[in-house]
Amino acid sequence: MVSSIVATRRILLVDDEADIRTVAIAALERLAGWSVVPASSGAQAIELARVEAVEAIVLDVMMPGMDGPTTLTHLQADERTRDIPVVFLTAKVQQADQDGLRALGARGVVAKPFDPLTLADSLSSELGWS
Amino acid sequence: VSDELDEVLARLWDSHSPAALERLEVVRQAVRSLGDGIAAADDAVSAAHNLAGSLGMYGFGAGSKVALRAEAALRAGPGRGDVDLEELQRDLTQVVEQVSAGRRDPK
Repeated sequence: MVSSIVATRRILLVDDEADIRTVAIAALERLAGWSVVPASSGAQAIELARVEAVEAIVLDVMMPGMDGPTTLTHLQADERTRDIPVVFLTAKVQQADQDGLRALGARGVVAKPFDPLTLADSLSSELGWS
Repeated sequence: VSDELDEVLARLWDSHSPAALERLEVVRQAVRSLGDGIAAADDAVSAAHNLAGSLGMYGFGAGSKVALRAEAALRAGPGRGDVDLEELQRDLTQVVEQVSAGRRDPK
C-alpha cells in the first residue's frame, strides 16, 4: 500500500542497526516525505531529542548499552523531552510484550521487521496522525 | 514513488546480502553447537537478532521468523527440551538457500 500521507513530519529514529536505519529513512523520507533525524544509540537519542525539534521518536527496544525502555525512562524524566510521543520498534510479537511496552508510557508499538511500504502508515496510526 | 523505493531497497539488499549470509552462517553454527551443549557467543545472538529484524524488510519475512526462533533458542542456551534444534537447523538451511537465490516471499 502506498501512503497517502502528505503532511511533513519530523521524527527521531533510534536503532543500533545501520541497515535498519537506512531502510527506514529511505521509506519515510522518499515515500512519505518525512524528515528523519537518525540516532544509533539510546544515549545519542537523548541528546538529539533535547535539541532537535522532532514530533515523535521511533525507538528500537533491544540495543546494546542503553536499551529502548531505559532510554524512554530518561526521556520521560527530562522536561524538554517528556512530551514527545515514543513508538517502540520491536521483534517481540506477543501481545503481552507489546502491552508491557505501552504500559511504560509508549504511544505505540510497531513490529520488526517492518514493511517499508507501509511503515509511515503504521507509525501514523500509532501516533494518531492518520 | 514506491518503484523508486523498490530500487533503493534492491540496491541496499545488494550491499547487505553478503553480511546477511555471513550472519546466517554464524547463527547456523551456533545452533549446531547448541546441540552439543555449547552456549552461544554474544555475536551469534546479535547476528540472529539483526536477521530477525531485517530480513523481512527485504522481502524475506519467513527468514525473519526463523531467525527470531533461532535468537530465542540461542538466548535460552543449551539443554532446552522445548526447542527442536534439528528442525531449526533445517529451517535455517532453507533460509540460506532462499536468500542466496534471492527468492523473496510471495507478495
